[in-house]
Amino acid sequence: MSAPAAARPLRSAGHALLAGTGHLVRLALRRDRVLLAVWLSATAGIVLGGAAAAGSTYPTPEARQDRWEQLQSVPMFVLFQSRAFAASAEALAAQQAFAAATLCAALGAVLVVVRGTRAEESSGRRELLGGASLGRHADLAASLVVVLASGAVLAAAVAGGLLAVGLPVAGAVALALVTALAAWVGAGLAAVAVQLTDGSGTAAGLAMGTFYVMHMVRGVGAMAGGDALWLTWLVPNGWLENVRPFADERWWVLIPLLAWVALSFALAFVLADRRDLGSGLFPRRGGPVRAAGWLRSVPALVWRLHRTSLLLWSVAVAVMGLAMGHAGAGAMAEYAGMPWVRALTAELDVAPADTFFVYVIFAFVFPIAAQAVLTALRVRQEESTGAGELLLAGPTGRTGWALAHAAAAFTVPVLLLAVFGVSIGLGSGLGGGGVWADIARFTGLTLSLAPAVWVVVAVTVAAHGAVPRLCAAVGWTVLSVGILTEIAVKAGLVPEALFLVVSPFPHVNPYYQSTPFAHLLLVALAAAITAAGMWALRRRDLPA
Amino acid sequence: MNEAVRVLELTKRFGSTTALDGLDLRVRTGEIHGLLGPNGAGKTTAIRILLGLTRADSGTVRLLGDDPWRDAAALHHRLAHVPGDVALWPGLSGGEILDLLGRVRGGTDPRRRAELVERFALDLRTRGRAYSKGNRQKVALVAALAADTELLILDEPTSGLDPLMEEVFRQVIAEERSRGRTVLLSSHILSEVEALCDRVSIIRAGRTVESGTLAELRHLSRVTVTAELTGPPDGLAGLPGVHDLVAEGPNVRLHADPSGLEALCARLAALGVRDLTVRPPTLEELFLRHYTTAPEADVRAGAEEAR
Repeated sequence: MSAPAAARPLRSAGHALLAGTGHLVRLALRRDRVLLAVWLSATAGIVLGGAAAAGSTYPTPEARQDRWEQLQSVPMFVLFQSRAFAASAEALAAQQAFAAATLCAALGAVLVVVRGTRAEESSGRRELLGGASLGRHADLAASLVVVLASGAVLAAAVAGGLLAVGLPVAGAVALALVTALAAWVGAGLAAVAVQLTDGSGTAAGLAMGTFYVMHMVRGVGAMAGGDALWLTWLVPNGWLENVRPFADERWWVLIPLLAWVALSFALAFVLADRRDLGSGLFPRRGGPVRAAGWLRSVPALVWRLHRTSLLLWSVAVAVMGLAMGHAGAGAMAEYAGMPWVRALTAELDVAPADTFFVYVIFAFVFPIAAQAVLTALRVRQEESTGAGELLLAGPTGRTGWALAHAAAAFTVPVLLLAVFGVSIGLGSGLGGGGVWADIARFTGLTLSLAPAVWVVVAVTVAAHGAVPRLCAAVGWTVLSVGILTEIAVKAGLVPEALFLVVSPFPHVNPYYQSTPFAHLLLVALAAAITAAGMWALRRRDLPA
Repeated sequence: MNEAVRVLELTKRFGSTTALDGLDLRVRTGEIHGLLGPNGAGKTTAIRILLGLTRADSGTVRLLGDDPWRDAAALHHRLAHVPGDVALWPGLSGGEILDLLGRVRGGTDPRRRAELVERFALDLRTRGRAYSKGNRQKVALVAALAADTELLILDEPTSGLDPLMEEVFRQVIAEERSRGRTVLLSSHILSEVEALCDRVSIIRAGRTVESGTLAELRHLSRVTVTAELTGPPDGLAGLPGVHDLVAEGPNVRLHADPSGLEALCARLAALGVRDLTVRPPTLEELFLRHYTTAPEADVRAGAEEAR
């Protein structure tokens, strides 16, 4: 699989299919160097950050016992994060990091594999290289080599970091292997998904969606417990959980995990043999000969471009909201008297019954804001691919064109926040209490967060006008600063004053004494920034 | 208004590279005007400025009598454009894209659309991501031709078409001229320009090097003369305007400036001629003459990058 092997005359058919893998590995390392660096450091950071803070988060046996009881009593933690298998600080840290670390590890692996295989194929770059002496499966093999190696690097970094903060060797190695195996499981899913569909976005969504669904299957099994515990053995995510780092590790669970990874890689190669370059195993669907009657303007086109992802997001958010509302309400009714609930209630200045929801809703505004930024960046994609030129060379003004895209980016988070509020209210109301009152209460709360998201969207829109090449970097940076300062403030690392200056999110949070005046200010700020972006867009070249 | 496009002393720089360096371009109403130049000559940049997408650094640009940078959207009701590298929305079918682009213009004639779709043999069910380059180009061509505007701006419209479709394209463009439309056609395919265009502007490194009808351009160029003589080719080499003389026995081959033809013919007649061909230069030869002897290599490299 190395470059010299590719350069030598090829003897066997197996070699011929993989010829040039070494070249493609180097190409992938060059092409995805930023993605790889961000992915690996983020994943390692999630695990190591949690482990490093574990001692200070749960300093006393009482604090650890409190957390342990909390994990037994609030099913949400088990559903979304993981079970805990011991009340030690490091086992609690592993519990807390499990979901974020495995999901982040899998996401990066999925992106690397899709970018190295299906994306190269759809863009036609694969054909460009096809003339060179590359084997038919060289791209798949190269992507998997890159992910396997990345997983090894990740495991080494995690294990090294955990040992450096003085944690037990067995647990450190186990948690490191869980992280690496999550990446490899994700890579296996992506390697199969790219054989099935002919769109790179669809393939990535299919692989990551499957991984997330399997994570939730594990969660449902673990949350229900008892007779339903077998569900956790149904999916690799349950096996990952059952490695139980820092809690009497079960090493034998690694065997089925490695077998799963090997089988999924093998399946990908078998499927790759059965299809043509450029196509998928799922047949390509034709489109309509005539456009629907409503597809007659740029805003209609923008809706058409976003509706599928919006629908998927709405369903995901609604399911989360319903589950949280329903289970959360029960947990709250039962545990409203617990000391940590009372403390949180006092801190957030809300009614005790709502504390848990407020906490969760504020955490959920970030993924919704991420989808809003993604929507806002679509206009840049339209510009750089050239599809936008078809409209702009027609009677569509550039301001109207950009505003249609901006409007979608402002509307998407409002819709998702509304869906989230309604579904939490519905779940909570069905769990006991007035359905309509709960829906109104929670929807009011979720919608009150929209102005903060709008500011992030507005900065992205303005960046598209003023610094088009950097607009993705600017949008994601603004959102990341919001998320990171939120975490840093909670950990006491930065002063509140800084958080209030660099992030729009505290201004919609009741804890920071938000007033309707603050909401209006955010709306005005978003409008002004957007207007500045439109002004800049009118003065620049397209495409730039 | 008898000038659809009027460009004077147009310059455009992208950072340190010069894309356009004093471009002049005049397109008369009702003509098919060829914009001829190699890759990187600045054709696409010039077209983007005409469309008001890119802003000129200096120079005058008038499109249908107005300033395309200021009045872009209004002007675009009166023109249609086919980009050189057509990108479509990956999830939309060809039919949806044609309908959308037509409706954004305020509607197109469905019969015209159907006729063009049939002539270009376009499969409307295919989605944007699945079209080949040629088929993407056909979608953009049908959309532009169906728009029924006074001006068509086509940027290398046939670069992905097969020969059959190229022939259809030529027929359709010829029909458009007879209907009074003005066409600006950028190309580096010489036979296409030769077959279609009334007038041609040749640009190199962002500058117009020659402009006129094909007849006028030929007038500026040397003709190729081959002859079989009855006697030795004495005195031919010394004639003014005669170049590249090759003599093999009784056969001679030379290039002659048009201004020197009269003296050349007299001399040939005096020498005695058994066979004689005089051929105008093909556009290929014109092209080679203008692009093989390229000074300002740095400027040209810059323009290529800018594209």
